[in-house]
Amino acid sequence: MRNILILIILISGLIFTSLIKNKTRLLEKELLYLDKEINILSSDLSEASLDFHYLTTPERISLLAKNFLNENFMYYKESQIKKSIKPKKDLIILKKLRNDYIFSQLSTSEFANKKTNIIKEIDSGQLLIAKRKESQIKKLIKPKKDLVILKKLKNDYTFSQLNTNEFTNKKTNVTKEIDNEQLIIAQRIDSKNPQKSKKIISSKKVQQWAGIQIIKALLGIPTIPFE
Amino acid sequence: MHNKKGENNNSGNHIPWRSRGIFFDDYETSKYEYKQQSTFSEVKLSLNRVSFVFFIFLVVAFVFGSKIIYLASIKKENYFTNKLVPSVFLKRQDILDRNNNLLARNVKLYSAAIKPQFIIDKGKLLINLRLIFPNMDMDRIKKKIKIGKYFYIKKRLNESEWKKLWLLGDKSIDLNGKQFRVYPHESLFSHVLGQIDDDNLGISGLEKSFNKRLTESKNPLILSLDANLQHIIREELVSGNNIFQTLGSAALLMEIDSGEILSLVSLPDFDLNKRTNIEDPIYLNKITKGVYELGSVFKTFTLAAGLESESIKANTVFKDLKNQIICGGMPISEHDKLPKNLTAEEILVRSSNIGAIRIAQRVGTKNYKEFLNSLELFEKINFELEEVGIPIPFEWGKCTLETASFGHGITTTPLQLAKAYAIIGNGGHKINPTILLKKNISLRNEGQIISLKTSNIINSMLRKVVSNKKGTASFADKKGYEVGGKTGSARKVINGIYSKEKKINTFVSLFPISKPKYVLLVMLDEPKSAPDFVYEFSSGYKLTGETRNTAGWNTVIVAGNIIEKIGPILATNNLEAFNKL
Repeated sequence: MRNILILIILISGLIFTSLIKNKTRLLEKELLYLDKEINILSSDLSEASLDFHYLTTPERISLLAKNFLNENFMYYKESQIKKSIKPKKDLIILKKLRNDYIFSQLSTSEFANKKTNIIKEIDSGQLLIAKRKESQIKKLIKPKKDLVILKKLKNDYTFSQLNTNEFTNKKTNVTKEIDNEQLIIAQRIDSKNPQKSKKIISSKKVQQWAGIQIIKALLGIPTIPFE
Repeated sequence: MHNKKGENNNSGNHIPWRSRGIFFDDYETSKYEYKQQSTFSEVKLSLNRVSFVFFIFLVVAFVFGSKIIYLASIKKENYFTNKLVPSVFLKRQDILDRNNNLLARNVKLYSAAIKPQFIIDKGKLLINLRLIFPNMDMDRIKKKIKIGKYFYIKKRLNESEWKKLWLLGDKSIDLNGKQFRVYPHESLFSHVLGQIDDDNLGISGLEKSFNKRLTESKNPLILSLDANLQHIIREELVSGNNIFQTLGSAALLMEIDSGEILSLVSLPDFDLNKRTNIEDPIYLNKITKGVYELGSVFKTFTLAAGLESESIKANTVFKDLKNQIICGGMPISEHDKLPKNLTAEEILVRSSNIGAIRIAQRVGTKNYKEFLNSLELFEKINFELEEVGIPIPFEWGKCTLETASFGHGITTTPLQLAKAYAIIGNGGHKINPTILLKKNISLRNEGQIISLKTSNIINSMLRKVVSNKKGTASFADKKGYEVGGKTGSARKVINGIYSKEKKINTFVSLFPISKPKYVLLVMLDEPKSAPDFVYEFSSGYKLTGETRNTAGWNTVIVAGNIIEKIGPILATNNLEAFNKL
């Protein structure tokens, strides 16, 4: 039993040794091949990096700039730049950056991110201002009289359910109401923008035309667009 | 010896021999016993053999096993790369600047040579060579072929030439590869890097002083130099050379805390790729090897010695300063007409020679000498380059103190001068200039030469030399960079006589002076007055042409332009940019 065990160990040792040796040989071959490949690649890389370093030397870049760029690069002090250009969006960004952060402490990517965020901030701010302005304008310019009458009529009554007298009375009342309101609005707008309001609202022609057109519309007579 | 009878008896009545006493016959082994014994010993023997063979196999398995473990554990480049696959770039390592820009690299290039003994058809070969190299001197080739010795037809072939020659398939053409050193920046670092010979051995500059390091190390040599700064400074020097028609110029930019040199330019320079034999002294490295009398830049040391020895204060007034004095039979005069009464500070700001003499006299020869020696101005500097000049030795004679006080009659190298200014500017800490990148490790550990108080006072005085309207360096007052410095205009010694026209004009500046970080030394060799140059004063006044040929009218202009251009790269927190002005 002992002998058999020894023999088994022996034979298996023999087999394993040869197997491992063979595997090692193959691995060595593969490593050698890979190393050769790496050497070729590193040699190519070295040549490419040498080309890159040669092409990006400051002498060469300035020479290329002289030969191929039409721009004549000049050195400007910040004070000169400040005088020559009015504050623009970029300068606002720079100022914001300067106030909030120290340039030298930021990496390039951080700086770029900060800049993008600030641009977004400024853009959204601008949008907000634009919206505010729009609402202010809307408040100033109220809907025109004819539309108001129509809306009021639509809201309060159903045209089809009214007879001619009732309709005439209602209409007279509504017109009066609107006239009163319009007067108040006109006064309000006059106090804020006297010239504009006069042109738009106080024109009697428009009022008359609007009134006629509404009546026409209600009676089914075709309307004429206002010129 | 055997008794057959006895054997039979024993076989008939078998009694174990141990119980019968001792007889001669008893020594004989019985048949049974022998059989038993022999079988046992055979098995034992065979078992021993098996164990032996097993042992051998075990040893073999152990050897292979350990080999496998060894292969698995070692780094592959140690075993494979070096032993089996020779690397292409082993002869010499790269040299890089502080931003990892390549300054020098070895590349494999091919050379074409002719082996005359292998020529089959001489005519055909010559025609082929003529087609590939149309400008080649064919008569020379013919002559060399006739001589019959191996010779080179062209070294450093380009890729297309190499391919064409290789495609000829001519046995007589030997295309042998060789490593060549390539310098992408051509002449930009010529004085620093130096040259190598055909066997890839350094013969000058860093290539020589770091030859062992470059050939044996596996890592590139990283310098403290900055290629971009070097280029800008060189461009400005070239421009200055053209304006002031100089013989040459030099500049050094150094960090005053660490002693790291960011730029070292000496003009004229030479293209390292051409491998020319440089013998003309004009190509000398003016910063490290050049030994000059540098003039009034020494007045700063006189003031510092006075303050350090407490002989003077910044506001000490020196009365009745004459415009000219005689020392040792030689007249010493002011460069310009100056007021008779000047404070110590004004002496430096207005660069008064007589004032400097009076300060030095107060300090005394012994103290002044000791002070200058502590700045190591007169001994050979310990530097990485081999091209280092040795200041001309001199004796402290009758008038030496007086002349030395304004930088006359004493010599040093610009590198040592910049080092001394760095010590004065950095709070008095000793530093050693270095051209190797030390990863921003402060070298302030070698002792203090002057006190912080003296350093601060001198710095504020140097600022006034530039910012004060009466200062000699007002053209370098670049807004936002807080430049401080001192000018020096010294006559050149030609054949032992001081020349009246040929000068060495120097300007050493520290900036930003409130917390100095850099020292910039600019030196122009034999500048001439520029009649067409337009001088722009800070007030906006413009002056075309100036006959005075002092540092304030030429070197300072160049230095100012340099500071204005390198300032943004160095990110010195320009005060103007940070709204502090």
